[in-house]
Amino acid sequence: MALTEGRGGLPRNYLENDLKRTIRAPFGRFRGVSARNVEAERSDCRYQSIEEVQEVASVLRKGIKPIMLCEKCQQNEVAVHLTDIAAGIKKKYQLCKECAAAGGVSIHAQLKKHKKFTLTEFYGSSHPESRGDQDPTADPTCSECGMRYSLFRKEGKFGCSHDYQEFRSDLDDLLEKFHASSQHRGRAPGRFRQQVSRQVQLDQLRDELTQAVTNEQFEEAAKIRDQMRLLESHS
Amino acid sequence: MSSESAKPFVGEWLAGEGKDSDLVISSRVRLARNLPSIPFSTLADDSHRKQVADLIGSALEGLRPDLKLNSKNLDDLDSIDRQVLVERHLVSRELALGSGPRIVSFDDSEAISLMGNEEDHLRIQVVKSGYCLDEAWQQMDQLERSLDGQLHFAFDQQYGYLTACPTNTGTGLRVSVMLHLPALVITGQIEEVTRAATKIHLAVRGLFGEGTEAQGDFFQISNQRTLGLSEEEILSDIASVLPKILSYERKLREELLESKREWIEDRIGRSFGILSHAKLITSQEGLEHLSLVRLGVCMGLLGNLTLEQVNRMFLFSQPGHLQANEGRKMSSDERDNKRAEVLARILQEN
Repeated sequence: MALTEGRGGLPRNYLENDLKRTIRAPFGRFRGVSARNVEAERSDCRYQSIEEVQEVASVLRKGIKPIMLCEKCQQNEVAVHLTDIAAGIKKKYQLCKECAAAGGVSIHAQLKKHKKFTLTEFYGSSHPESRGDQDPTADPTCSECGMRYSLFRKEGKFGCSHDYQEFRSDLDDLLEKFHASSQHRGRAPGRFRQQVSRQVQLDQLRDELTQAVTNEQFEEAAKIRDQMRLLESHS
Repeated sequence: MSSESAKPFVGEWLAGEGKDSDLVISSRVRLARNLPSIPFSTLADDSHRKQVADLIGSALEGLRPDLKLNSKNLDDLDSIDRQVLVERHLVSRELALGSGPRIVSFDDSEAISLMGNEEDHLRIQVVKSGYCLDEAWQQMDQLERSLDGQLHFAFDQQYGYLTACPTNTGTGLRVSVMLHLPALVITGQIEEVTRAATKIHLAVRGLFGEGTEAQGDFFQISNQRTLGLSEEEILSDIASVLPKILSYERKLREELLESKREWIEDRIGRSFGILSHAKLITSQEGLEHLSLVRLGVCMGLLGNLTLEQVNRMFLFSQPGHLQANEGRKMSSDERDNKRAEVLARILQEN
């Protein structure tokens, strides 16, 4: 049981239900339109029948995967994909939030586990045991603005630009998580421009060197190495 | 400020011109920059804020005079005028709600805007009408280089430009496009687009950026990664995905017209009718009907009505602008009434 907390809580007739799937009506304003409530919507939407709804759906969904309706109520969009394994038999159900909840499946508890981290939680999740307010020796403090590392992790904001220097040893992992990188590759202020462009060239040559060695192009690799040495000697 | 709302249109980005302006309302690039040795907003007191405001103020004076920047201290404006600036996307909500010396400086066309003492010491943005990120970036590039000559921005060889929040570190660049995607919403395909965008590290947000929900079929797509990519790479990430979204939306619009012309005409006509004749319209309702009317204009279903008119209706029906035009605070009911009046009046211009 992948998503349930109360197995067997689904109404008995649900299991016997004809699990006919219907393509959801294509228009946002008719979300969950079924044969039953098309009648009620008719004056507004000008659809004459469920067939017409489905015809429009098929025109608009050429090559597009249809969105499924709940197997039980046939009205709402599927929100819970339930896999039930009992006595070695695996059964799959597609339910909307309401029917899942009515059947004793708490989507709320599951959603909580998968919800997106807030920034604060994200910071807190990296080294929960290694940082704490209690131990000042393990809590670097910026000599310029007085920002403590633990507070930065809690609030998600630096106190001043010098914090980057003070917290450097812990920052790479954090930045990797956000940006999948901890090395700047963009523009630089005029006063740094030459140095940065040299670094970018070196990075590029390093990639080329690896490629050349992989391809066993050793003469080419030697040339690249010499170019790198030349660049490094200027820095 | 109040009298400015009487302009025929405000903000270059609202002109409804430029490439793909039927789908792309505006293109925006923003840079975050800071000054070394001065605390960021989390720890700054008013003396630090004044120091930042003074440094930025004198750097702005050194910019090309033909930019004709108007500078204002947010503390000198009342809450309605601050809201007007937020609604025009000239300042962020954070800056409007902050305290102490805070500067905003923008040009006559409201394409360039600089904020002093936001989350970062300096935020620079360039906004253009339609899909025009390259041009916006070129203008930004020049502007930032001129400021770089006058201000020493906090920078690190490894981390790049140092920002108050690590989500901006590196380039400090946020590139975003404001999109109107009603057909994708109507046909239930928008979630697919959102999922695809998120996979390649782009964020999909509401009208006013971070922390806001998408309303009335309007979406903002922006980059999430600011470190490890060059500015050009960030721009090309957006440029690589945007045409696909636009052609998807266009295809669905065509299909709607071919297969359900009467139905979509009816929806658009009803919205037009409501905006023309209703006496009370809430902000949310206004946005929903404006979205359909905008779609009608783009599909050529609403005669002489222009995108510029629709964009103006969109802006002038927002709470700050309604109150600025009246010159006083208004209750929510009063605003709903005034909103209906403003929307109907602009529609009747034709």
